[in-house]
Amino acid sequence: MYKERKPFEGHQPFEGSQGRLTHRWRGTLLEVERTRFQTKTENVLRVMTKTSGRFYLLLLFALAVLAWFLYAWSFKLTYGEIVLGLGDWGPGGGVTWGLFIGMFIWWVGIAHGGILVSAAVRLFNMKSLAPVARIAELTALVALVCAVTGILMQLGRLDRVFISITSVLPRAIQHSPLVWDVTIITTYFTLTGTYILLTLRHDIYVLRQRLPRLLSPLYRLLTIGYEPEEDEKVERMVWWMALGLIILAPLLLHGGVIPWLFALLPAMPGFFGPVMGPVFLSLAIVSAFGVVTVIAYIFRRVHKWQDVFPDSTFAALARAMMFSALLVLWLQLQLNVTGVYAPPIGVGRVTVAKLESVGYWLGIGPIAASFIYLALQSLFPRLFSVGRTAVAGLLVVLAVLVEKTLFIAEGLMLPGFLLYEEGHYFPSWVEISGVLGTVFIVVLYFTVIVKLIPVIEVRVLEEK
Amino acid sequence: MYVPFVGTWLIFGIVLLPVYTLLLGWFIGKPRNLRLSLMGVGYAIGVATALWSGLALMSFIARILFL
Repeated sequence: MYKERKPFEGHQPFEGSQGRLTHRWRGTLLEVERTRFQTKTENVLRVMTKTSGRFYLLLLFALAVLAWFLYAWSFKLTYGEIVLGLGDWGPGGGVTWGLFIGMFIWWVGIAHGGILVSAAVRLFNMKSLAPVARIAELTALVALVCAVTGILMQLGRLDRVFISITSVLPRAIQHSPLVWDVTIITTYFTLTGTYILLTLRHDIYVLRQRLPRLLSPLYRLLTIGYEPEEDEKVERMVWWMALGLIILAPLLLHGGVIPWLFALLPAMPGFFGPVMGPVFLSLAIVSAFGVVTVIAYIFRRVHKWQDVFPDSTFAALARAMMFSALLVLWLQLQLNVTGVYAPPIGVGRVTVAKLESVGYWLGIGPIAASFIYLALQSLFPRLFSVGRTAVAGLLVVLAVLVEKTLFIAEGLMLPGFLLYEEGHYFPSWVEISGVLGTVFIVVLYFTVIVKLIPVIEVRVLEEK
Repeated sequence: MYVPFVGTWLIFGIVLLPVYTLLLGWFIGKPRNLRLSLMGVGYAIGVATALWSGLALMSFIARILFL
C-alpha cells in the first residue's frame, strides 16, 4: 500500500524545547541524509560497475531478437513489398500502409510524451517525477530512432532514402507534409540529443572518479571543456530547452505536424478533421507515461532500486496516466458522437466500421480498464500497487499500438470515393518482426546505457 | 480560400518558434556565456550530423547489399 512517508516521521523527541532540532540531532540527521544520498548513488554506481551473468544473458537474447529483425528486414528488401500484408487499393484488395506506419506514430508519440515528462519536471519542479526524468529523455531519443525505423522498413528502395529526401529539401517544404515531418523529426531529435548531452556534463564530472575506467575516453568526450563554474549557465540553457520543448513537442509536433500527415486529407474521412491533433496528442502522452512506468518498474525490480524509484514516483506516474487516459476517452467520445449523429456519408461509414471492429475495442478497452483501475487506486490508496501500476502502463502502451495501426489501416480501407470492395489487412510476420525488433532495440539500448551513464540525475540523487 | 502552399510560413514561421525562443534564451538570457551558448549550438549540429550521416550510411549499405 502506498503511503507518502515524511522523512524521520515519529522522531519528535529529537526536537528541542523551542520546536527546533538541537545541534546534536541536526548533525545526526544530516549524517543520515548524507548516507541516504550515498546509498542511492552507490546503488546507481553498483549497476554501472558490476556486471552479472544475467546481464550477458539479456544482452545475448536481445541480440538474437535483433538478428531475427534484421533477417525479416532483409527478407522484405530481397523479395519486395509483396511479403508485407499490404496491397493496392481497389483491385489490389488491400491497404498501402499498416503496422509499420502505425508503429511509426506509436513510437513518435512515446518520444514526444517522454521529453514532456522531463521538461515538466524541470519547468514546474515536479519532484515526484524527477527520478524518472532522465529515463524519459533517454526513452524519447531511442523512440525516435524506432519511429524512423518504422518508416524505413515501409520503404521499398531503402538505398534511395537519403538522396530522395536531400534532393527535395528545402524546396518541397512549401507544400509537402512529409517534408515537414522530416524537418521536424530532425529538429526534435537534435534538441533531445542536445538536452541529454548538456545535462550529462555535470553528472559525469561529479562521478568521474567512480565510473568504469575502461570508458574514460567516452567520459572525457562527454565532459569536454567542462568547468564547474558553467553549471549555472548550462542549467539555464537546459531550462530554455525545456521551455521550447514543452511547446514544440506536444502542441506543434504530436499535436501538429504528425497528425497533419493524415488530417489534411479530405478524401480519407477516417483521417480528416481538426480534432486529430488533440486525439494524437492524448494517445502520445498516455503511451509515454505508460512506457516510462514500465521501464522504471523493470529497473526497480531488476536492480533493486526501491530507494531510487520510490513508491511516490509510481503514484505520480499513475495519476498522470489516469488523467491522460481520461483525455483519450473524452476525445474518442467526441469523435464517435460526431461520427454517428447525422454525419457526412464518409465519416458515418468510417465511424460505424470502427465501432463494429474488434480492433477498436482492443485499442480503447484496455485504456478504459486502466483508467478505471488507476482512478480507483487514486480514490482508495490501499489499492495502490507498483506492480499493478506497471501492468496498467503496459496495457496502455499495447492498446495505443493497436489503435494506431487500426487508425491507419481503416483510414485507408474506407476512402470517401470507394469504387471497389473494401480492402482487407492483417499484419504479416515481417511487420510483426519489425515491431518486435524495435522493442528489442529499446531493451538493448537500456541494457547497455545503464552501464555507460547515470540514468538518474545526480541532483535528484542528492535531494532529500 | 484555398491555400495549398502554406509550408514555409507554417514550419519556419510557427512550428519552429520555440526553437528560435530557446536560441535567443541561450544567447541573450542571463547568465550570459558565449562559449557555452556556442557549445550548445555545436552539440546540436553534431547530433543532427550524426543522424543524417547514419541515414546516408544506411542508404549506402542497402545499395551494396541489395542491388
